[in-house]
Amino acid sequence: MNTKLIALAAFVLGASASAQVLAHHSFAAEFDGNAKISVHGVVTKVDWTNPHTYIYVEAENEAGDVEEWALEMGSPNGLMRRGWTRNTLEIGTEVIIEGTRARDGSLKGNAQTVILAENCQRMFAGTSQRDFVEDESAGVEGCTPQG
Amino acid sequence: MFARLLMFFAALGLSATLVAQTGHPAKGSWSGQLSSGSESTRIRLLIDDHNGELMGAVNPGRNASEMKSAVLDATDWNLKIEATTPEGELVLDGKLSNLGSWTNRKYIGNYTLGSESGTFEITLN
Repeated sequence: MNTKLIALAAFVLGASASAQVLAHHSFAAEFDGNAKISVHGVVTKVDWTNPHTYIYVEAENEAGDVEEWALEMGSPNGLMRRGWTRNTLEIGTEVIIEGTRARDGSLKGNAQTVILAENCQRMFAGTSQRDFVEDESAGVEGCTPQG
Repeated sequence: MFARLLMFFAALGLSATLVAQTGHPAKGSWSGQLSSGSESTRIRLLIDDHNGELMGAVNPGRNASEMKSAVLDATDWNLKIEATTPEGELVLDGKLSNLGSWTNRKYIGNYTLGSESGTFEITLN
């Protein structure tokens, strides 16, 4: 009886952990490090989940149509070590997100930096791209502080 | 004893999933379109729930308009929202549908914005 209970408990534990395990992947498997993107839009949702935080942004494309981007950032712990809090990005915040695009061409990307359009403050997004250097001294290009 | 301990951790592992099933059906960030004839305008809503009372903002952000009222009739899932926006008085009157979905929950109905009127379709983000 005990053996069956242990086996059942182990199965349930494994099943509940599987979603998080599946969500973890290598950067190169999903994103093209050479396909740079810059998404300028409005935050519609932030999911503080492990192993990656996701930020969702509505942005207009060149044709004027609204696109909904999903951008992967670092883990919640990794972001908090960089100074982020759960209130850093509120719904409706205008942002410019720089990063790299998903290999499948979908509206998904890996965020390297998040720039607040209001004051051009730049925050690093904890990208898992290994050759990305978080250079604090680099300037913020393409952003003019809003009045 | 060991088996009970394992069962405890198994239950703990499932608790996050169970917690995710709760919450007011209108709560969250919504995005969609107001459509009037051939014109369409993007609209975003941020709705929160405080002890059953709904409140929130239209187009949250720097130019947000606070909702004057947001009332949900749970008998038919009709949701009526009123706000004063820079473009005029906004009234959204529609129904929530696909309530079991976190990815495709809809709020569809009719709106008036100042002297303009039309239909809207908004989806939970």
